[in-house]
Amino acid sequence: MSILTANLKQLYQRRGCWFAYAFFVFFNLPYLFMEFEELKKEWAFVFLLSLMWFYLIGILVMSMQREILSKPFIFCLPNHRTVIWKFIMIVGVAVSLLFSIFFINFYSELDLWQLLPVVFSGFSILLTFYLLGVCFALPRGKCETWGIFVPLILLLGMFYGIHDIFVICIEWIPAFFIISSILIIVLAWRLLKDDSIARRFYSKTVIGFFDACDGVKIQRKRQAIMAEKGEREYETNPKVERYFLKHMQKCDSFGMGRYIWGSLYARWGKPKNGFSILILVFFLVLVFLGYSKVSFILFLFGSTTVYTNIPLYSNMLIFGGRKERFATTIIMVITNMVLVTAICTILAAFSILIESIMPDVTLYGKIFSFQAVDIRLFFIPLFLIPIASIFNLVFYYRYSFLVGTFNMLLFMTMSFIIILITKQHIGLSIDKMVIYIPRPEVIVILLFLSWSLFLAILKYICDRRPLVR
Amino acid sequence: MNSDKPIVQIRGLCKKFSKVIALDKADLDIYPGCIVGLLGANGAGKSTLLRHIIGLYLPDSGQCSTFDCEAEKLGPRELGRIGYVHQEGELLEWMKVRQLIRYVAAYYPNWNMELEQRYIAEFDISINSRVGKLSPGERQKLAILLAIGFDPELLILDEPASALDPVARANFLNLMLEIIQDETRAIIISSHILSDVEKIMNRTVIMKKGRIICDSDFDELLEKYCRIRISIGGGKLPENLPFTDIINSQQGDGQVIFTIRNTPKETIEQLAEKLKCEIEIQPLPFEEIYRIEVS
Repeated sequence: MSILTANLKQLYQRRGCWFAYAFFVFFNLPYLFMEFEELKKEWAFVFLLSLMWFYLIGILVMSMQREILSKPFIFCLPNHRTVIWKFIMIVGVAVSLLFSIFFINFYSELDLWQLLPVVFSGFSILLTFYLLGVCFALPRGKCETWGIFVPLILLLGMFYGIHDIFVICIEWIPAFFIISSILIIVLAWRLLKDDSIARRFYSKTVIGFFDACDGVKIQRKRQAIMAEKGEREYETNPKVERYFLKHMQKCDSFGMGRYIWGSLYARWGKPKNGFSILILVFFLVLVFLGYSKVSFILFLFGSTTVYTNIPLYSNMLIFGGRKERFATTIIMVITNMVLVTAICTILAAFSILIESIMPDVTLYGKIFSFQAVDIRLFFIPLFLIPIASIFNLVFYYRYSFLVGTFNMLLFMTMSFIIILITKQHIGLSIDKMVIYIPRPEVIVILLFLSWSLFLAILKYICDRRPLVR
Repeated sequence: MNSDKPIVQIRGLCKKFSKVIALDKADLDIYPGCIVGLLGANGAGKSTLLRHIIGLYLPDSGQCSTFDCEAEKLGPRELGRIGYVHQEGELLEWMKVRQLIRYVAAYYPNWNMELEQRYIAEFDISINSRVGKLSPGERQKLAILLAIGFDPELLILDEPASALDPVARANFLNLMLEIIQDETRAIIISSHILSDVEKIMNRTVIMKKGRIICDSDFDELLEKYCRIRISIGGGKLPENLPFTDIINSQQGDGQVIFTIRNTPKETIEQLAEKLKCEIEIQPLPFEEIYRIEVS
C-alpha cells in the first residue's frame, strides 16, 4: 500500500471523519430537502454558505495532516513529505469538482461554451476557500488565530450583499476567481513544500479536530502554549493559593471539608486565562440570539458550556473515598451552576440595558430588531446543568470539547424540537411558552426531576462503578 | 512470614471487563514488613489488582479488604495511610511543582517536611517547574515524593521506576529499603524491571492472565530452582538420570547441564555420589526463574 493510499484510507477509517460527515449532513439537511426552484432563489446565499463549508473542510483536512506530521515515526518515513501536498490537492479537487456539478443545474439555461467558464470559475473559488482553510490551519505565527475571521468576514459581508457579488463575479468575470485560485495554489504549494514543515511538527503536541475529545492531549497542548508564551502569564495568584490552603487546613484532618476545599482548589485555582474570550463569545451569542428573537436560548447555551474535569474519576490518590468523591462532585456541579447562572443573568440584565440602543438590521428586505433576554428565565441553568453534568459523568473519558459540543448540539436540537412540537400541536408560540415556563410550580418540578436524575446516576457510579479514568 | 494481621487481604477476587477476565480468583495477603514484587506480563492483571486494593475498582466477586475495610467502604482514615504511584502519572498539570507539593501536603496532617526536603535535594527536583512540562522521569520522581511524603503504612508503586535514569533508580531503591526499616509498613511494587525489584523484594507474586501463579518468599523461590552440571571424567553418563522435576537439559561432550526444581541440594549431592560423577550446582538467575514460572 502506498503512503498516499494509507492517508486517503483515513477518510473512511477514522471515526472522527464520520462524525464530521454526520455534522455536515445534519447542518445541510434543510437544503437537501428543499425544492430545486426554491433553492435556486436562495442560490447566492447557499453558495456563500458552501464557501464557508469548504473553508472548514480545508481546516479539517490540514488538521489531519498536522496530526500525522507530529508522529515521530513519520519524520523518517521515506517520501511522506511529498504526500501531504498530494493528499490535500486530491481531496480539494475532488470535493470542489463534486460541488461544481451543482453549477450545471443552476446554470442550465447557458450553452456549453458559456457554462464551462462559469463552472470552472465556481470550481476555482471553492478550491480557493478550501486552500485558504488549509493555509490557516498550518500554523505560521499568528496565522492560525486570524483564520477565524474569514467566516466572520463572510458572515458580516452577507449584510452588505457579498454573496450577490460572488455570484455576479462567477457569471461575468470568471477569470477573477480562476486567477485567485492559481495564486492560492502557489501560496499553499510554497507553504506545504517547505522543507522545515516536518521538523516543525516533529513530536509536537498537535490538537487536530479529531483529537478534540482527548482531554490529556488538550492539557499537554495547553502546557506547550504556556511554555511558548512564558510562565508569568499563567501564574496562580499567591492569594488564591493561600486562601484555599488556609481553608483546607482549617478543616478536620481526613475530614470531608478538607477534601472538598482541596477539590475546589484543583478546579478553581487555575490561572483563568481566556475568561475574557469566554465573555466575548457569550456576548456575540447574545447579540445573535437577540436579533433571532430566541434570546432565551442564551441560558441553554450557557448550560451546555459546562464541561469540566469532574473530581469523581481520578487516579491521583488523595485520601478521598467514594463518599468524599460523591459529595465533592455535587459541590462542583453547584459551583458551576452558580457561575453560569450569574454570567447569564448579568448578560440578560445587560441585554435589557442595550435593547433600546441596538440598531435594527435589514436582511433580505426583512427588518430584524434586537430583543432583550427575559431575565425571569435565570433558573434554566439551575435544572439544565445537572443534566449536562450527567454527560460528564457517563462520558468521563471524553470530558473535554466533544462532550461540550455534543451537549450543546443536543440541547439546541431538543429545544428546537420542543418549540416546533408545541407550536404545531398545542399552538403555543415561543413568546407564550417563555411566559408560561417561569411559573413557580414548573420551576420546582423541573429542578426536582433534573437533580433527582443527576443524583441517582452519580450515586450509582459512586457505589458500583470503577473510578479509574 | 510476619504473624501480624495482614494489611491487605484478598480472597477469591474476580474481575471481568466485558469478555476479558482481568482477575481470576486471586488470593493474597500482604503483611507489614513486606516488600512485595508484583510481576507479570502486560495485561496480566497487576494494575487491576492494585486498583482493587485502593478501591478504585470494585470486585465482581470475592473480597478485597485493606486495613480491615472492604474496597467500596475505604474512606479517608484508610486511604490516608496509603501512598500510591500509578503508571498513568496523573498529576495536576497546571500547578508548579512547589505548588503541587504544598497542595498534597495540605491534605495530610503528618506530612514529613524533613523527608520532603531531603528527597527534593537527592532527586534533584526542580520545584519551580510546571508539572505539565516535566519529563516522564521528573514526573515519576515527583509522584514518588507525593506518595511517600506522609509516611504511608502501605506504599503501592505501579511501574514506579520505568522512566528513571540509573542513578535515580538506585536512589529510589535505597529509599525503599530505608522506608521498609519501619516494620509496620508494607510496599507493593509492580514492575517489569526485574533486576531492580529483585534487589529489594522479600516476597514475589507473579501473575498471568489474571491468576496469581506464584506467591512465594523471594529467598525460597531462589532456592527452589538450580542449574546442575554433571560430568564423568572420560566415561559415559547413564541414559536415565535419577532426577525428577527437570525443567530443561542440554547434553554433550561428556556432560549434561539441566535446570531442576524442588530438589534440595543435599539430595542432589547424594544422587551424584551414587552415580559416581562430578557435580556443580549453580543458583538460577531470577530472570530465568521468572521465565520458567510464567511459561
